[in-house]
Amino acid sequence: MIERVAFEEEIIEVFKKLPKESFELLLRNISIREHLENLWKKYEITGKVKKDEEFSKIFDEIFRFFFRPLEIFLAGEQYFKYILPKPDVIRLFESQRELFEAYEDFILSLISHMRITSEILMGFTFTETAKSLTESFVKKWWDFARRSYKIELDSYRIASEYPFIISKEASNDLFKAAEHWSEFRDAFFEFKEIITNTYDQSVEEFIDFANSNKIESFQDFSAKFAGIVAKNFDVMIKSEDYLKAQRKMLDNLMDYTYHTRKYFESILESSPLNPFATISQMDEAYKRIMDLKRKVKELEKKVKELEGKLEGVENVRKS
Amino acid sequence: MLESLREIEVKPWSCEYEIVDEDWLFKLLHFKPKKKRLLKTPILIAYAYINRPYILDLHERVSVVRRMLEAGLDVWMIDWGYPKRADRYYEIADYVDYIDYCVEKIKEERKVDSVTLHGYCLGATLSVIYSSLYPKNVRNLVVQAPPINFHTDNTLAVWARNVTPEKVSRALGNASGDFLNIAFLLVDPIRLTVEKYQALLDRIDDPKFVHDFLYMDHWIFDSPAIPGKVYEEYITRWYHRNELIRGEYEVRGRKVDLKNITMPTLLLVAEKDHITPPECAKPFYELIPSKDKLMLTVNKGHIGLTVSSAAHKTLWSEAIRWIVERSK
Repeated sequence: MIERVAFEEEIIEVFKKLPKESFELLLRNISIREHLENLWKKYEITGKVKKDEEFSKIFDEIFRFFFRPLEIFLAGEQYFKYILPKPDVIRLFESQRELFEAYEDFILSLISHMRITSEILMGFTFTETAKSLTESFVKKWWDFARRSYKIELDSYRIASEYPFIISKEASNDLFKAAEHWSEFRDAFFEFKEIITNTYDQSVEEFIDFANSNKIESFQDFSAKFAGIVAKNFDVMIKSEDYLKAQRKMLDNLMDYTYHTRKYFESILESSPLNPFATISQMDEAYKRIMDLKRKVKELEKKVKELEGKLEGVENVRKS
Repeated sequence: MLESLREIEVKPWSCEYEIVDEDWLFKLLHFKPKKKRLLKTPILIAYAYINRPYILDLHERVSVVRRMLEAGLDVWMIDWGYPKRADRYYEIADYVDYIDYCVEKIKEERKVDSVTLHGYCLGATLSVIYSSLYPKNVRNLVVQAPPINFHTDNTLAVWARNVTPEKVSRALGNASGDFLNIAFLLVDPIRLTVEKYQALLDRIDDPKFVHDFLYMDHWIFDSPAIPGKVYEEYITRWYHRNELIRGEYEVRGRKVDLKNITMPTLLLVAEKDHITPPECAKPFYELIPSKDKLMLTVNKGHIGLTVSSAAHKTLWSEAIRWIVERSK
């Protein structure tokens, strides 16, 4: 127990020192080593190695690092569940109307609670004049806000009329994003399958080797295993199937990302209530600044050249 | 077990320098000389715009910059910075322009007509482009692991030919550091994410090994993004079309002609380089008309060429001697 606590404290200190990628890979390799040691222990006794779950665990440790960022994008499906006007989502809104109203009551009570708490605190910290002025301002502000923003309409209906609310451009980006997401998902599973198959094939090859040869030490056992997998991956990563799957996955991932962003941007850009500039609008500004910067540099260079020429003329005149 | 990792404080840049110029994203650095009398020709180092230039001054034992300073060279270096979203419209021509700006500045400060230009990896590509456009400004050209011929069959080149860079820059703005890290690891996943770390666990009690490992890993994952436009241009015009070696590459309407590389040229090649294998550089070496050219090789990889003690013992001693002889 003491050792475990010490290790956990130690590992936090190491985390502070290492790049996050190095740290993750180090932890994963500590696990890989444990799994390899388990395999080695069995091999040392029996002289045989079997295809068991230790190999799957090693695979998981190696490739989580690569699969995770892609799976994060796959999880983007959650966006669509709530964005697309699917009947089940609409029904969810309708059926939960009472819940939303109860939630509204709760929020209002919470606001009252915060107001009372702040009034009590003010009683301790503010002067009498400031207290009364502040109290009256806060009260008036809340009354005004509540009176002005009291919503009388059935807001769930707005959600059910979603296709008519967003712009045509936003709709199109949403559909494109969904199409690319679906293509990306298919390509990701192809990509994963190619990697899994190559790994499985390498495991078979390693088992054949280990069972027909005598491996003398854990170091050799571990090195031979990694060597066989690495050699098979060298071939796989340049194979037509892999290149095709990787390209399809990357292209669709990028298109999905782009269209999802454009969808949100379209909504923001078409809303007069939106106070924020979108990435695309900022990009346009960056582009113009960059063009101007180049023009300024060109002019500076020309001025310098002219100054040099003038200096030359001046020198000739003086002589 | 992990105690040895905790004890090491990674502090790259072993030599003192000052920032002489700062242009938004780019910086020009000047290293504090280690000798009173400096050699006449200053040396300007242009590193790649992938990863950071301190690989040439990673730590005292393997610092190329330190060796140059100790040999009496006047060392300057360009730092391409960490591009942000606002920098996505930088173009390769802007990088070449900044090299020109730095060369002119050094010429003016040191009252010289030309400098030694030392490029490493994609910095070597930029240096070759610059030397062909402004040959009079380059007294000597040193190119280290230069990708000039991009049609090679190493995995990275094959993958680059299978990427649609416009999609990446459109979605991400820049080719982000995380995106590049994953790609560079996935090129050789087992050796780079398993064998390498298993070797660390095997030698966790060897302080020198752990020290060097941590410095390298710190550098490897210190990955600036590549500006979106630069990424598009570099993948499309270099990897897809191989414009540079074919004599089709242009910068602001000026053709880059490798026949202009007539200055003394030193080529440094790593035999086991999986990023820019020797085939990237050798056609360039054969093509340039320079009468004073030399190719030095070492049986190491792309980074081992700079940070391995073997390279320092053999290749760097000879390389620095070559530069010194031509800097008097």
